[in-house]
Amino acid sequence: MAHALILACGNPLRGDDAVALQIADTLQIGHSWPDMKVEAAHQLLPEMAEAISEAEIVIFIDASATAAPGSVLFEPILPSHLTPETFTHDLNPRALLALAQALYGKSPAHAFTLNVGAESFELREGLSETVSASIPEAVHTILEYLTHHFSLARYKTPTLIA
Amino acid sequence: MGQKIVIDPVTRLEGHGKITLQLDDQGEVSEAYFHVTQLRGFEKFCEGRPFYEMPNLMARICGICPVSHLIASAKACDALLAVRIPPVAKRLRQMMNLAQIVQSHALSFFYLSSPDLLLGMDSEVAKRNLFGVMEANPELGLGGVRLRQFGQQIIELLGGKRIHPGWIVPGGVNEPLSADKRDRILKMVPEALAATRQSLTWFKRIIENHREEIRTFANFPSLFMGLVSPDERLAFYEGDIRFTDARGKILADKLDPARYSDYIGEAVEPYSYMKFPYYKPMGYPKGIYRVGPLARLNLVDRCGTPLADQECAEFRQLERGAVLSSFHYHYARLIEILFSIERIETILNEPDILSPHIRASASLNELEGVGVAEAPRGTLIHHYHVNEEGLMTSANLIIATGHNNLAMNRGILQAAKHFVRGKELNEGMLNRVEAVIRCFDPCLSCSTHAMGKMPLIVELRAPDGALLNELRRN
Repeated sequence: MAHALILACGNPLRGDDAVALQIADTLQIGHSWPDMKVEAAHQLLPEMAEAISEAEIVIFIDASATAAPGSVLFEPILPSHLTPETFTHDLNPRALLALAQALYGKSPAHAFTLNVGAESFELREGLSETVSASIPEAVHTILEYLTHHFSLARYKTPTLIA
Repeated sequence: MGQKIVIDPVTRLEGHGKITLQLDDQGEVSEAYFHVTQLRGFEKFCEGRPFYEMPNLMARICGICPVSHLIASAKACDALLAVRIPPVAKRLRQMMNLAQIVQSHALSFFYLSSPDLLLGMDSEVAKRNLFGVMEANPELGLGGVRLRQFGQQIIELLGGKRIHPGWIVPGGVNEPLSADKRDRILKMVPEALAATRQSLTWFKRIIENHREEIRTFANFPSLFMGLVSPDERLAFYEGDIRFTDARGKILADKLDPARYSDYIGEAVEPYSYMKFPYYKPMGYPKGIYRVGPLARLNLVDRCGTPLADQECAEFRQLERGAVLSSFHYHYARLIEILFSIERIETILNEPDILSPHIRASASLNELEGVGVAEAPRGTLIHHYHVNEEGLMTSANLIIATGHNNLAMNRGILQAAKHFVRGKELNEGMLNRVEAVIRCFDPCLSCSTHAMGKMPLIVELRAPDGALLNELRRN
């Protein structure tokens, strides 16, 4: 059972949409912790509800089309039944929390979204400079929250990427 | 003055489509058109690329059934290499294809269609989703999620990831199956089988509630087409092409899939980017045929596994000849899930399944290659031409949804004539017209090789083309 589940969502071929995937990579490579599970995906899916239901904390990472480019927004969220019809292309974190509750009878006590404002979703690989520069802050935000929550001294101090 | 209804966008589909219903002077539906309004152009932009890139590139056509494109493309590349792939590689490819059948059918049945089947076509729109299913029948909802998970986990275990796995390559697969992975998959089988059988029992119980839909949802005589194995069973990976007629009689058999252009023609219509394939000997549009789960079960007398065979026999009792109502695509889908799980278990228990001999190597030996397999929605054809350097000079793809294009259009007309009355549209009418299309589970992104969000629109138009009413869902 993962205490903290980090779900990163994005498309590596759509410019800044890949920012969540890069944050996930940074977390996995530089900050491994047995109680933290990091998963990267193109999109959120109903099948993720089971893993979510078993976590104590879940953090959904994604690029934002509306936030200021490079800004990092970390916000608590609650389950919501206001869902799309299809459950295939546009499932959102709040609906997924509600689905975990409906399917498995439980959902994480603490749920957050971490959104990074994107500059461009054009068809290309690689992030814009502005968004790339925001990765250390995003990683730091997540680790700081987890460290605080679990009071784990064994975390490494996040290394800022030049 | 006649009028026209437009449904735009059609919802709970994999793709972006629009329906136009033309009314006559009496206010009755006289014509129906299903427009596929997106264009992607994979056939064009692969030109000039090396052929060995094709399996990975073509898999990007779809995020739901990338494995089908991967398989058809790899088979076309096998033909370019002129190799016979190792038997175990074939089994492993088959297993991944079956896993995809399970996950894609589960998505169609449980996520997209079960709300209508369980809650009713006229139920509250806000409830017609997986939450509504969970509230009304938690076991059904959870079973659906489990089945999709089952298929996706197998794809992930074999290919390294759920979407766009790169494990299937020209000449075979690039990594043998490990004992650990085999055992992990086998462990999941009993729960998947139980969920499927439970869902079939439930479906057979509620089927009587949908008599009107069974009667009016694309229920008409047509041909059926698909692959059949040499021993007359369901064939998803390889086989010969068979056409049967509406009475269930074999019209053409043991056709070489690579020579598809001898018997399949492709027409175009100005209102859609999706082509209109037809059976050439009967001409266009008389050569209308259907593919996919309903067609596949109409083509064979048995599936080839014990539980699925029992269900197939019961299914074939629905009608004297072929089962004609497209509503029964749902039923057929559940039987194919059952078959796929049983077959996966059989393959995993074969003694040589962990063999390391999984790939044949060769350089380019042919300048033309065709790969054909059964995708969840029907027969999928990839046809490539390359130059002496192995660079693609042309590609033609015939996608399952395309084969069903004529039948979907005719089905929409049939349902609209029955359910749509006059200028006033209500949600239930609209949902039934959409639900006809959902029976076919069309993947519009595949059929036009398109990308993007996938809503649907319905328009009501007068005979002079004037727009009278429009319903739009995003």
